[in-house]
Amino acid sequence: MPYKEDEAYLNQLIEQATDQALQHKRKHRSLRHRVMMITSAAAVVLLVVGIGLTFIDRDSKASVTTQQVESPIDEFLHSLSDEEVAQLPYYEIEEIPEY
Amino acid sequence: MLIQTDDNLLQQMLFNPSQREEGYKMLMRQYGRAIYWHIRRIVVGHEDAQDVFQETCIKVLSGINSYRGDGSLITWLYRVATNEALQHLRRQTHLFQRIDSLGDTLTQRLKAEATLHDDEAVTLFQQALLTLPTQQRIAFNLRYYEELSYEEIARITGKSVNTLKTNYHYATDKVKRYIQEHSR
Repeated sequence: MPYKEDEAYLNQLIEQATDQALQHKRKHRSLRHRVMMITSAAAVVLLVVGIGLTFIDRDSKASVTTQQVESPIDEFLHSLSDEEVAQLPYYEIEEIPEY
Repeated sequence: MLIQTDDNLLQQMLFNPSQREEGYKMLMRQYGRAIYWHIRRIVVGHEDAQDVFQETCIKVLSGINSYRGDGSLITWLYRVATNEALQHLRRQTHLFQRIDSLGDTLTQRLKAEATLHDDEAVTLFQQALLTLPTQQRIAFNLRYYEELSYEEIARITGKSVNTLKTNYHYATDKVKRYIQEHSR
């Protein structure tokens, strides 16, 4: 062989390369763990926000529905007290004047 | 002195998560030299060999799970190292250039590292090897230097035994002719 590497050099190279490979794996594993943690946290946040938005959306739809069902007359009647309601003129069907 | 550890013991350690690190260190202490020289003969340059050896160590460690234990450990290590060395050479080629066309570059690298005290015959033999197509050169090296069987070389290179035998025959002829033509 024309190459000059001696035993001491090779021993050192092997030890060094082996250690670096082990460090590389540890670093890679910890990075992967961190990425997994961040991804999981982001997924949980998205899920919570999603559920929250669904509830808000449902509430706003319900209030819109209620607003649509309650007519202005009903709203007016609800705003009156019992005494005020009693004072309202009461028409018998027969009393409705003919035009 | 290097203490040889039984392959079965090494395999047991590698497959056991609590002993894997120690097993890996023992594996590299046992076969690291052979792997380094194999890489050095393929990529030729000293610094290239260092880089490829480092990459091989990382690939071996991360690929232990993919080792099924069906072939010998050294065969598997040679396969990983060969792939890494070929990938390294591929990165040195230009677009549409083949690895085989790197022969001149590798010869220049060999000459650059040679000193006045080098044995001329040995250097000439190395130069002759660099005229071979890369796959043929790898097979020749594994047979000539590592004295592996054709079956083992077939497992490393993925070629058939018959193809390897023919390649080795052609490679030997070509090397002999080169040396005859270039020796003074």
